[in-house]
Amino acid sequence: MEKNKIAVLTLLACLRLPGLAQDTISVDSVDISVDWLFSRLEATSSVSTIYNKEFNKRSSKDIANSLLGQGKGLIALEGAGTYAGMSPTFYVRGLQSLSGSSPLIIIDGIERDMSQVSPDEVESVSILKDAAATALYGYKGANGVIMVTTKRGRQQAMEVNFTYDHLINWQERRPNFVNSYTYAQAMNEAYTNDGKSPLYSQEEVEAFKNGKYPYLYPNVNWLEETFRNTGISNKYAIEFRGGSSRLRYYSFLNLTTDKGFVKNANASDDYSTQNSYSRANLRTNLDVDLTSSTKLKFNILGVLTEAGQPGNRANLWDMIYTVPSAAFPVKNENGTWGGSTIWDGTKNPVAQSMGAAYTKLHTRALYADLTLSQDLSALVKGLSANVRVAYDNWSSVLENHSRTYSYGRDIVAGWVNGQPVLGDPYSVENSGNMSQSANTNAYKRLFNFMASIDYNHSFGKHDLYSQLRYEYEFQDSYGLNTTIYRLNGSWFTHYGFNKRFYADFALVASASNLLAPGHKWALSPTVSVAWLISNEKFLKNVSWINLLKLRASWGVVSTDAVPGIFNYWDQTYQLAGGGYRFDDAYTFGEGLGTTTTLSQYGASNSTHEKANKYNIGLDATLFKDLNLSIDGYYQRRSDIFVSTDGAYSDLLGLPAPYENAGIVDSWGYEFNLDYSRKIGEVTMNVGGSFTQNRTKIIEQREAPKLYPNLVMTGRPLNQTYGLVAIGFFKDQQDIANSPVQQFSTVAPGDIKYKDINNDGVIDANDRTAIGYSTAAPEIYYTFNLGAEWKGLGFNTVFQGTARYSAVLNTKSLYWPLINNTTISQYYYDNRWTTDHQEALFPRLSSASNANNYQTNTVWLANRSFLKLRTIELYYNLPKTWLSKTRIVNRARLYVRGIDLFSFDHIKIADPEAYGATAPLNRNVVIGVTVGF
Amino acid sequence: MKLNKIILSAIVGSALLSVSCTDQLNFHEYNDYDEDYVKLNFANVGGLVSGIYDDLDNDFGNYGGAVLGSASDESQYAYNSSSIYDFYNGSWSPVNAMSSMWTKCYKGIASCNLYLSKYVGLTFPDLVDNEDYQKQMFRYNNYQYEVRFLRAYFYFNLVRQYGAVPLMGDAIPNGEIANSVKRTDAQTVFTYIINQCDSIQNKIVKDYTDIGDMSMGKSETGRANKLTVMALKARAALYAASPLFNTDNNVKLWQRAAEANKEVLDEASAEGKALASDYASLFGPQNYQDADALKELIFMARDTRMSNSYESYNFPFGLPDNRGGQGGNCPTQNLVDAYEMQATGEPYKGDYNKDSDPYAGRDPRFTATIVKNGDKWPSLNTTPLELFDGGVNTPTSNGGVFTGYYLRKYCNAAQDLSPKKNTTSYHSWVTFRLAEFYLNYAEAVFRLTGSPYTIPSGFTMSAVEAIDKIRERAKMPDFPVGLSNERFWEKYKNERMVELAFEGHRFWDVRRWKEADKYFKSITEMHITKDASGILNYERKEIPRQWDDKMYFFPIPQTELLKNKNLTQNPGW
Repeated sequence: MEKNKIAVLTLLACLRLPGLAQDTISVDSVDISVDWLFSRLEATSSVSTIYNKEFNKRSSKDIANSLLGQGKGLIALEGAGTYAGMSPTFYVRGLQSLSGSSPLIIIDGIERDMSQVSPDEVESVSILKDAAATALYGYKGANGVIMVTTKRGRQQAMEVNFTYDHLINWQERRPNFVNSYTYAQAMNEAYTNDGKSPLYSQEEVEAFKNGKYPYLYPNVNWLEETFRNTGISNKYAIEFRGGSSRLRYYSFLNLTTDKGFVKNANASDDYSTQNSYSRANLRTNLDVDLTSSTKLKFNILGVLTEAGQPGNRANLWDMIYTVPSAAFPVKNENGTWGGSTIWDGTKNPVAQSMGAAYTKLHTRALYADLTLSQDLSALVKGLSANVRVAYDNWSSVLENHSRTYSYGRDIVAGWVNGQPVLGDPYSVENSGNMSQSANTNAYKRLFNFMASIDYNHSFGKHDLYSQLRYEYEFQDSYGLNTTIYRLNGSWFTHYGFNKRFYADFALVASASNLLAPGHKWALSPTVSVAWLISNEKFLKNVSWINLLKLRASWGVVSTDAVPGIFNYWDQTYQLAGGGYRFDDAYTFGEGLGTTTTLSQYGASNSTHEKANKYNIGLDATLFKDLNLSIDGYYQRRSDIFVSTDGAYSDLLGLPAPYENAGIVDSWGYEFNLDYSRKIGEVTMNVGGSFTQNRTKIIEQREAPKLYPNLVMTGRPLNQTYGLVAIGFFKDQQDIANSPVQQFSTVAPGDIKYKDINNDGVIDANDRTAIGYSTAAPEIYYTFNLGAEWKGLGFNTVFQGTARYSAVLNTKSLYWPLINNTTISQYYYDNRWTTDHQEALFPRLSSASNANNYQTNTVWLANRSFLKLRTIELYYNLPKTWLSKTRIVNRARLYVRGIDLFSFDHIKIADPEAYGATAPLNRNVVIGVTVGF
Repeated sequence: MKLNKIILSAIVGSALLSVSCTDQLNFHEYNDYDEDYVKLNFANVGGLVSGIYDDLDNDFGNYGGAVLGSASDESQYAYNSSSIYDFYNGSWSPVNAMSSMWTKCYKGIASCNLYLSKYVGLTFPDLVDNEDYQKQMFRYNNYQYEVRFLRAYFYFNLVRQYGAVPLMGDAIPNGEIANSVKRTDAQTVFTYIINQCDSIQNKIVKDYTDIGDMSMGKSETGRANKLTVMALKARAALYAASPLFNTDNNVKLWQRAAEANKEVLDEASAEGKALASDYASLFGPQNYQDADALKELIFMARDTRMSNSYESYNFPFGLPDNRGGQGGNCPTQNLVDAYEMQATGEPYKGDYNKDSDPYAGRDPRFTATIVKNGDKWPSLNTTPLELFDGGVNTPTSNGGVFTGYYLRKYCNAAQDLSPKKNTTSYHSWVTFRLAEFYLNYAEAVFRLTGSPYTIPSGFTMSAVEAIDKIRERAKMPDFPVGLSNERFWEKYKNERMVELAFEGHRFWDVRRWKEADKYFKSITEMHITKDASGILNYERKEIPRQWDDKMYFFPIPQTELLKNKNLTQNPGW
């Protein structure tokens, strides 16, 4: 499928000359961050690479979102929120440690933010999985690395590409909350269930139904009043690429804009209150041959973003999930905004979206790096040296132009003769002046310096590459304890014998200021080997085996992940004002008034967390067109910092220290396959990937538990715990015959739990492992299918997850009415009543109901899903037509559907975003790419 | 080749850079303070001691509003939502171990050991030239004795509750010690406490109002002083001699107890201390500065802030203007019966349904302790309380038992709980007061001599003479002559119950006497009803409670046994 891989390799080879024989078969290059790219033949580590053509099909705002559904060992989970905030969560080989499992994101060799990079400017994304692949990242690489490489110039005539994508966005699974008539009935039912008299009289319920008094008994569909059905995004990008033998350039300019779903964003002539987003990227990547032996590489990216939203940074969706249709009218008869004592006017989503003016979040970023490479063959043949300096800067400025507004509502004092009688209205007067402020609310800067000496030599059957490298990095961001200094010194050697056997060896010494004095340095060795079986004589003549390689690697990777506090090694004290009163006047005592307490018992003999990783893999190309790779891995994380709070008896008497005592095992396998074939005029391809990752906590200094069901050690990381529901109480008799449930007084229709520990009472000790993790799925799989005929083609990507759980605790949607929230139609239709005992959900209650709102199997859902991530129909205009224009060389028209279908078990909300937030977007894209 | 050199020098430069990185590698920006910082000045070190004082126990409703007395026959908490019910409804167990004292005391002990290991013997060289250096050093040098007292006090609370407990010694505990230390038998712990007190009682400041040139202005009367140390020793000696701990009735322990309590009484009179003339003033919001009360008070656990939670737990239910409290800790009829008639010194023998006022002529301490039907209480309430069935001040759906009485002791009568006022005041918990030591003395001397009237050699008072001091202050007749030992013992227990009601004694006294069978298997409520003609009808109702002899000691929390395999459980649990 990816014939351009060779081209990629050639392109990158401009920097280094691989000097190795290449077969005609497709060869991935493998970049593990030494200044060397290995062909797929000689790589010994577990790395998979995705190319622009594969991932750039989602017309997404940034490279992170475009990776959703790509697989190949990358687990990408979509993030909820408005367009500006959408940011996926990534895992490489799933959950791995108690200290966190987020992989390192590297863009052009430096730790950078994917949300600032457009997919169009990216050449490839590599997923670095095993110890051998991540070793050179020192303390940062233990959770795997996602390495983004941007496009570079080529020695060719100038090539200009223009791309325009027009997106139509909608939110498929918006919540559906009940009308005010149903709400009033539900509240009355809840009140009755709680043993109180109904909240609304029959006359009032009727008034909600007939809508006779819209200002007193309103029925507002807040979602429809606040939001429109579609939003629009546009993406424009233009890139210039070319170069001569001495200078190669890549320049890129883009603009991404989005207008969200706020229905009445232009109530003011002067400004918009739309949820909007725009970002402009300007990049130049240069490669200059300063002399025949000296090369300069210079990358610079400037980014400006602006995200607008209604005033006070109001979370409109939270309001939709809170305010019932009966709460108050949008506007009162006198024109002021609706608001009441229970639901404050600042919770009126329409008022917030129209009357509160606006805020804007601006970010500015500059990412720049420069590399000088010197060929030192004049001194020693094969010797060279490199120096790199990177300086990154990002800041975010909040521009606040919010305003307040007046609100209130008419109050019904009572009903006389079938008519409501008004009492004193409720009203809150506000000046409505627009505020004016702007301040930096976040920033990050990074400085990275790297220098290396490389040696590359082939003699006879031996190929040798070796590198000594030094790296220094400084990072600082907004907040306390965010300044990080790290050093890496590494020695990397690659050795190949007779084009059949390969071995890599890396030794990395790392230091970090996050670690305790005396423990700042760690030495991490990794070894990996590969056997290219297909180059053995006995397979040379087997025609259907084009490539067959076995890989194995082992290594210890260190991390500087420390507990939440940054001086865990120190015995520290807290000084608090006040304290014991010693004086006869009941004050503190002359010169006292401070209480000093030990706040932390320093960790003694601390070390750092280590990842001991094993990997075996097989790469194959069979029948010329079938590419296959299989990996199996096992990892033991040890010396993870854990709190010993629960481990020691209270005789300790002081705050328990952190200890390097946690151990977590994880293991799993990955399977990638793709096949492409040309049959007559039709080129078709299929592919897929499958990963499963499992974990087990071996040790975490857990407090001894009274019952085995509570023990978390020995279970997977992030295992969900809760009570096991065995139905709903039928009646008082049923309650009397069941063990006492101690969370709150239960009534018929409340959830009945299983007495897991058989102690005759139901309490927190009956919690047990239920379902899987809610953080990451154990199984993540993708498959794709595509075909092209005479320039007309289609392709699709499906992606799924399994062994993945959700706890559906979304207010109003699943947990209705309590804390003055509303109720979804779905809950209302499936609630328990005396006449509807076979219900999905417990009885209604208006006050808090601690019994029902424990984490339990009623709220636990299977979060597995299968989504159609992308489907694209395209047409490459025939060259014969284009050549007539004399300007246009390439033109491609396409229609895309993004995330059009989801097959899952949750149905009324998206399995990736079921909280009280903006539902996930689905999109249809019309786009065109023109090349000059 | 010029570039060539630049690159090479950059590489060499990077090696140099790595040297300068050492400082950066040690960079951290935390904002906590380390030991050296604490040692910089007197206030920080003093703060360590303040922090330990904060761990002192009081009981202004530790069990969700209920006081420990509500787990004895002093009172009944009106709401069964309180965990105090667990003490006698069968749900007390190693899993539900009611063990806050365990945690709190070992925290205190560890803090004491931390202080004694690291903060004794400092000279504060940077502050030598300060004007108040000598005064500060005087106060600082006394801290170590206060801390040692506090540590001994925490051990007393533990041994009283658990019997044998781990004795942690002087080291700062670490995880290994915490998970392996064994329990030390109770008598050894008592002896440790007594020895600690002995070794510091002549070193600690005697009177903080009289330290001459070393005074820094206001007198720090809240600190433990010589008499406090002696009081702890005397109480510990009494407990050690009591039947629960003194299983083979070793008379030497009674001798020690009698001597220790005598020592307190002698030292008190030498210091000019005496019983306060007004019993009620000992528990008022001003007790820490009331001259009369201060004559008797030896040590108080002071409130860190003003509050009214005690009043909100105990003020009558249903007062107008939302001034009412929950009426939580309700004194039992058992306690009411303990208040003898002032005229005769004998218990009330009348009939509640025949006497026009069955409460008339009682021991004056009754009014200082208990609120009854018809009282106008608290100060702001001018209508007589209705504590009969259906009365406005009778809790309706309380889920528990209302005994017919409310609690007055320690409540600030002037507190206004109405939401608009919501006044607060200080509450100082009386840890030691002189009256207790007259009673302790009486008990020890009675046990030592086997007679209420004998004065042992070397002593100056008999048991009855000591009790009569208390009776005289209470304006009650002296104990009669010719009491049998049995009769004396009953009257002594009665006197102790009355005098020390709601001061956190009864729960422990009945245990150390091993007489729970007699007192803790039920309580009596006075159920008052009012008929149509307004006549009150009194009816006693017995409310059973569960008691098992294993409850003489608390269970060691199950989680502690799981963590420290060398700990053993108390018998029966």
